[in-house]
Amino acid sequence: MEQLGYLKDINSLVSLSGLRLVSSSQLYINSCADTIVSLHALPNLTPTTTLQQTRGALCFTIETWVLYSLPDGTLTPNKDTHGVPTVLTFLAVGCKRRIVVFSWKDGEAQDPKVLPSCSFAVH
Amino acid sequence: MKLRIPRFFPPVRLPFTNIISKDIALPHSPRAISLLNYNMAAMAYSQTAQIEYFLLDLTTSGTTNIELPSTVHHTPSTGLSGAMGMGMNAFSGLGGYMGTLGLGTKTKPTIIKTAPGEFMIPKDGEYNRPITNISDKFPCRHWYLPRHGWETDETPRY
Repeated sequence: MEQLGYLKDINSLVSLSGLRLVSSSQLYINSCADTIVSLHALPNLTPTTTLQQTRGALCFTIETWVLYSLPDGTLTPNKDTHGVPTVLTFLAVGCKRRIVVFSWKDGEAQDPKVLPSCSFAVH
Repeated sequence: MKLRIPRFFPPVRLPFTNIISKDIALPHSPRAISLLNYNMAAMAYSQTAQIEYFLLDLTTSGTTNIELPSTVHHTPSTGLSGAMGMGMNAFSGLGGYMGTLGLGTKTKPTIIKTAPGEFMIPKDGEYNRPITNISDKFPCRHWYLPRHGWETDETPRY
């Protein structure tokens, strides 16, 4: 187990650990060959949801914000707009040469979207 | 090309697409991440990478390097010093069997979010802890903290 976190939005424990491989002798071997991020629903830690997009994960971070949803579907941090308060949670996972960001809006998972490219500014 | 660092909580409305989950390719493997706001992350590569710390715009995938200030060495009044400190430094760079014992391992880079839009980068083996704020020019201030966490009469307080 490399790292643990708590996702309040979906009341789950987030773990970064090595994949459990089953050898030919049916013995469980904790292998560090590949790591992955899993979600464990509390309080029983089951069911476990493995985020397959995070194979080779190295680290993760969780942040939660309250934004305000406007009638036109946009979100704003400005509370003076009298929008509907919305809980926005990000789980950013650093993997091998990429970062995968998962998001939840009021506890509902958002669909993943793959960016075609990344611009790198080298100074 | 230098990217303009957006202010924390920009006054413009966020498009709904900003909260869609994303998979962003990077030139190296990130070792530490800290989300500063909903469209900006501070990240660190391993210490062997040419670029160690950078900001990543989650909306545009644009990156901005973080240039840390030149190291200011602060002489500690406590902690490992003298022969013991030299002994610890002597373990750096060990590999092979000694490395597997953890004696020669390098510290994993760390980025700690201290406040909205503000984060701290602790540097191993140095007494210079830069505090960086993306809402202003960065780095904005330096804190000198005791390396091992205990305070003395000579520890500056803020």
